[in-house]
Amino acid sequence: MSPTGTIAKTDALADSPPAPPPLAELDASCQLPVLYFLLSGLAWLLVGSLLQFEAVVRLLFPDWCAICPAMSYGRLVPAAENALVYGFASQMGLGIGLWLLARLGRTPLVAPGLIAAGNVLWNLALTVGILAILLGDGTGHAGLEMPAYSQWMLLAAYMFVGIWAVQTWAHHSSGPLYASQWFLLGALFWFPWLLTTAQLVVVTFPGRGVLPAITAAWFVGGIQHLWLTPLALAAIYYFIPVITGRPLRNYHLAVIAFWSLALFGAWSGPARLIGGPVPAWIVTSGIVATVLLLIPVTIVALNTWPVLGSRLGQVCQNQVLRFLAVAVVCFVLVNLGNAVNAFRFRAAVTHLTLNEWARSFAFLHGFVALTFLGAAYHVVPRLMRRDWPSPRLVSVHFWFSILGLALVVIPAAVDGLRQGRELNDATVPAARILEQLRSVFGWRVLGLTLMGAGNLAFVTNFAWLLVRCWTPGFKSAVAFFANEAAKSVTAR
Amino acid sequence: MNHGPLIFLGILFTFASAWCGLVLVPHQQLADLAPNVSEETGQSFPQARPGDAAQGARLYTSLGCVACHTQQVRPEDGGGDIARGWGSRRSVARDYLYDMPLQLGNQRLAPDLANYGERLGTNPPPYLHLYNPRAVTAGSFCSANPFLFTRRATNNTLSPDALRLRKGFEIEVGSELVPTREADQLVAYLRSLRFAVGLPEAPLKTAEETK
Repeated sequence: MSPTGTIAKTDALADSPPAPPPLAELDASCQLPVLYFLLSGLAWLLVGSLLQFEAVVRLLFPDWCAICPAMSYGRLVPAAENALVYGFASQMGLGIGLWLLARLGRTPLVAPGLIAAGNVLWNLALTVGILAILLGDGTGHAGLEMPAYSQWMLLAAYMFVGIWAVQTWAHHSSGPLYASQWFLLGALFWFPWLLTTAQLVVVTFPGRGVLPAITAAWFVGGIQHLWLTPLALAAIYYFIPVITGRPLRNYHLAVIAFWSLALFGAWSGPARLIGGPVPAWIVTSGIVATVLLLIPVTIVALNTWPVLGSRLGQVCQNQVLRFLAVAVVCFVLVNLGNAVNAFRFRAAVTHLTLNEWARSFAFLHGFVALTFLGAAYHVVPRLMRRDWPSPRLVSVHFWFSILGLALVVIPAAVDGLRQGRELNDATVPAARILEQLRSVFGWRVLGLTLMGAGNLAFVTNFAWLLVRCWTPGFKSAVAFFANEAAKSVTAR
Repeated sequence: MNHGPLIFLGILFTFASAWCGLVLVPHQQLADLAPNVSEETGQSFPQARPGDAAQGARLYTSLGCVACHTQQVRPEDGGGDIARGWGSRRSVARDYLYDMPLQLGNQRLAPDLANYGERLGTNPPPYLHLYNPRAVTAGSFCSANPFLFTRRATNNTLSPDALRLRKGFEIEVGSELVPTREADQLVAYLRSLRFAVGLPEAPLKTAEETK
């Protein structure tokens, strides 16, 4: 693909008349905060992947580094999870989302300087939180391991971003609202509501007994279906029609997808407490919602698959589309797997096993990560007005990610079924069942290595692009940033 | 779907429905849950943990043991936990009244510990496992915790609380490993993990039913 040609072509498609501010102006308003969010998201992806890698190495070599409690498997796992969810996925998603808000609303980003300040605070909160987990100050609540002080800081940081993002949304040009805009608006409100509730009820003023666990399960479901999923779907609903140049099929159904995701996503969390010591009706409502989530999932497939199918040649060639195509497939498969395994007779086998783990890994690294990374391949060249220096590195990133993902997820999903079946058979000694999981961890090391290599290819390409952009006029870039910051302050 | 305020109201109401259903109502339902006092023995269950065990619970949380060890016994029709001997009845909300934070877990890469204290019985406490799980179960992938033990010099005779390390795990002659206070607290916590007490909502099986 010719560098500038593609940018011009897809921009022309995005740019149906009338468009008051030129796209270049919109992009300029986004440059500072979106670039910050994407870069820090990438940095956290590397940190999170490294922690994840160390965790699995600790499983295979449990005596290595044993003298250091910060390297305990039990601390590395939540540290990696939080780094990936709040550092990588949330920040990349916000970066892409901010850009989409400006593009779709045809309005420059409001207060880009303050949003960038929010990004700095966000990274600070997260650094404190991850270090606290590693040093043993984690809360121990599943999905909310970061201590209260860092989570309140995270919430404050989000306010810097969320308020101005909603302001930008509200400034959208008159005309019909697009599906991506509904998803973005939902995510921007749901995230602070989820985090505030969980903070108050689970971490800061916890109730007695199982109550915090119920709220934490609801929160984890919410982070999946009301935060990361709508952010990723907003990107999918924008980039697929814009790059293929074809409208989404069955688009009239998208409104049902949105409202059913809003409702069932909010109720789905407690399905992960199945078999646990909580009132049965709570789990049952979670199961029902998890199964009904198949409604939005089916609609997303009906909206996107016909378009992708009719442009298969382009999907295989295009830097962005192939990431998104795999992401949509992961989205459908993971939710299908979750729905099937929500039923009690299936959960009796798969709950608490690596099969369940494989599905949550595929959700984060297949659906969410591939969507945002693919979208970044579209957004960054427009922010920097320059195409990627090496298309080959993009291919390396794609294939290494896909292969690595398969090597991590498939053995875990398959062997998790054996693990669950055999644990339910009291005649097989537990130690033997668990020891056999070693081969899965071996595949995981290989898979994570490939994924890490792929991500490094992306980082290299990104750094190369920045160097190319900034070397000729480093001084003017500095002047530009200073100017932007000054503008946003005087605009107050 | 072109009116921002209407979309906002929908976003608010769908969320509020789940908030009321899954946060507010459970809090009302479970707020009054109290320990059960047995009519026969007059004993109250569950009981708050004594100081040492409570300190141990903190260490258990901080080390992240929950990453592999669950603490929940699923009902008989929901898995093989009871058949495997991980508990004599399913776990229910009341069992966890004094657990803070709850360490239910979501992965079983290791045995469930909800009733570990019960299983341990009069066996020697699991200091060796805490020092190096391989010294007890070959092939275990549990992280070793040597930082829970102190090495000190000894004159040929091991002190009573020193670790009896088997072949392949010995340390140099003239020194011994003794548990730190933290290790003692962790063991006290592990001993306190038991709920082989019948509750109205989860009675223990009588001998006839078990047959």
